[in-house]
Amino acid sequence: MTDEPLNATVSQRAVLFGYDDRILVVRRASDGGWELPGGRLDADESTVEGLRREVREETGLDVAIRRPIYTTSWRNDRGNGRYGVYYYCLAEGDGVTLSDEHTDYDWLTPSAAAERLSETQGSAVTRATELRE
Amino acid sequence: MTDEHLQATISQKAALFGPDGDVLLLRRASSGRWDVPGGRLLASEDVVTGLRREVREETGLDVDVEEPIYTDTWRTKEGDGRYAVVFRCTTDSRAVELSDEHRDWQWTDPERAVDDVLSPSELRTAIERAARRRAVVR
Repeated sequence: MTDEPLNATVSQRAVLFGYDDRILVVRRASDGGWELPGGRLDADESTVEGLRREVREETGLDVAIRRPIYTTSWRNDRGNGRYGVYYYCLAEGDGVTLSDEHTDYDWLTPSAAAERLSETQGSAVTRATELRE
Repeated sequence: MTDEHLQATISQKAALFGPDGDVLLLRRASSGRWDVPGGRLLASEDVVTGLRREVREETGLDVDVEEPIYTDTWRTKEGDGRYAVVFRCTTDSRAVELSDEHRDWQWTDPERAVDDVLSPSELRTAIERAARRRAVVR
């Protein structure tokens, strides 16, 4: 084998359904782009703990994590390995409190959310909508 | 942020269903334990390419990768981070050709795999969930 195993940090994000089947999107303070809530897993936390922590930090919401629905791997601009995992989640409550990482939020229909997000995150929304039980 | 980010290699595994709905289990040459096919993603690969390569190397089978079913993370005894994802996969062939990594295989009913063959609880949960999805996926 000529190739090395990927060594990556793992970004976990929530396709978070709330009232009226709408999905939560948040706007980054850094560049104004829209994204799904979530972030990188810390060392020594479980997958579920990590995602719940990130969503709570960014939105104040508690979530029920149902299942993973989409994964992707890439390298960032500095060549560091990244692995992304998207989960289908349900919001427990709808009172959003943002952290200073984000400046705005919106609850959108799946098709409107897919349009506003990056291509990868939009694909995750589409998959979540298809795989919903 | 008080904690540091996990730095991990990514283990991708297949809950692989054959044409009649049986699931494929492989017996490791090293430990003698039953497992499912899969392995570490390489730096140059995308998710689906990596999993298809690993399954082909270990079983000779071409598979369709459908959807992630289960995720888990841990540290090895040496302290290295691991992140694992089990995907639901299907194939229309039952003709397995093993590599040196395994010494035996079986196609078996998912319920039997969970109750009688697999010991790690994570794998049992993953197979159970993957089997339940079977009727639902297009």
